Amino acid sequence: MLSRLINGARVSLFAISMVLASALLIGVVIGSLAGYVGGKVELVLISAIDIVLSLPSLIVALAFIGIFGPGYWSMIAALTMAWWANYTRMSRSVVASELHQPYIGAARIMGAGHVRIFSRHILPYVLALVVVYASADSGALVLAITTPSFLGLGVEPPTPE
Amino acid sequence: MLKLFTRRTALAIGMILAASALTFATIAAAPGNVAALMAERVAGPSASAELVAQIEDELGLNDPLPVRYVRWLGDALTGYLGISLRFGKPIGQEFAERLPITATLLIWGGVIVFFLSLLVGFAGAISNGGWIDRLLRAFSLLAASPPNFFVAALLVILFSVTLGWLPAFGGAGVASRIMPCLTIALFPDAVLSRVVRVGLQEVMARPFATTGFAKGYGRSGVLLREALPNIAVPYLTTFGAQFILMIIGSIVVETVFALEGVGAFFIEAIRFRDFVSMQAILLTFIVFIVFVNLFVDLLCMLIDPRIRRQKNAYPEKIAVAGDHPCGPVHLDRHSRSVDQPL
Repeated sequence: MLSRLINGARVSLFAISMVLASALLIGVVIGSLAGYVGGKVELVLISAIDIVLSLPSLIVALAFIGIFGPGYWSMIAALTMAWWANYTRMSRSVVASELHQPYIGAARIMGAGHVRIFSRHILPYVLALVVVYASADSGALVLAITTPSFLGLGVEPPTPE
Repeated sequence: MLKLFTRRTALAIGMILAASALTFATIAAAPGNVAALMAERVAGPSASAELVAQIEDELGLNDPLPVRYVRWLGDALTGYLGISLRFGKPIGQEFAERLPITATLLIWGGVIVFFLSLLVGFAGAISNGGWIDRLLRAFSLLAASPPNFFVAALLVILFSVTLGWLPAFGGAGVASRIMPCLTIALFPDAVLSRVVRVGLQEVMARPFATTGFAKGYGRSGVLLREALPNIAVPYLTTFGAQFILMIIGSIVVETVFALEGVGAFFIEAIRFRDFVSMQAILLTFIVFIVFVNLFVDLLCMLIDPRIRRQKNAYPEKIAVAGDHPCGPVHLDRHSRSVDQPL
């Protein structure tokens, strides 16, 4: 029983880290690009994010499990699709407010290109904030993983979780 | 005010269209051919390619995506949602059988949540830090922490196995609905009783509460007359959000208690890759969510005149391409970061 618990913890923790890593990757990249570029691109993306976020995340996750089929990796993919929108919105707002700061203007005057400004000045700040939020979010993610697994749509039966 | 109402309703309809288009496109892009699945059901595992092509033609699966979407939406509006791949029955008929069960769960769960959260929050506010307050808060937290299937299992062990009072699964009648409704209601109740409790505490700190005391009312009198109406708007907004989350609760609870509702239908559709049913159920969820949000927003507009008077409640103009949302970068002394500490 104890060994099953330990094994299950390993399975769960791996799933959580995979979901968080992919959701952060997708979310931060898309969100900060949207915030940096601005204009129509940002508008379209924000509308899409708002629509995706209007549905409860578990329903989105279950729908994607339905699309990919039941299974461990499809559950991870489905939860990633449900989780990325929040990080996108957050990173977009952080980037949009950071671009207002004078040090960005100073960097631009000194001749820094877009890539340098983004990677050197903005990205570390965004990552710091979003990663802290994500680590707090991981509690909700644990519970979100248990529900599809309970319904039989996550891991296959002999695997502990 | 009518203008605000119509604008909000138009926004809701736009949301339904956009969300349903997104879900339709996502599910249509799913791997797995609906026509092949249907051919398999009709002719067995070795269905011929001509049969698949014929079914594709009949269902119009070869048309471009927007055409399929408009046709699907038009059909859904007139009541035809398709034939379920899993059960072979028209989905509308399946809904007609399953909706009453889910509706019973949600409505009674909502009623329990409403009265229980107001009661618990109010009792906590009257007690105000006393033992009742602390006990209620601890109990709410305890009841809401585990995932709802765990709470459901505990309730089943307590009431069905040990005490034998309530049936463990299935069935009709009031007794079989008590435990499911209670399970769905526990988490929203914890959230909402906290909203009530904190809201009342915050309102009691305002000057008009002191006026209420000066008029001669006791603590419960002031709470009832002055404080309670003031928490109406945040309470209703949170209630709407939690009511929507109760769909998820109902999905799990219907599976645990073997009730044949819309949630169980959704799980069956997922398990058997029934894309047609999944589209129909997701459309139902979207419409439900948008309507609950719309209803809550309209109710709040009705109750609170301050919301009606907000000029920028719904922006007239959206950002034009070429504007940066933050405007040009300022380098003078009045920049935000110079004046304010980090």
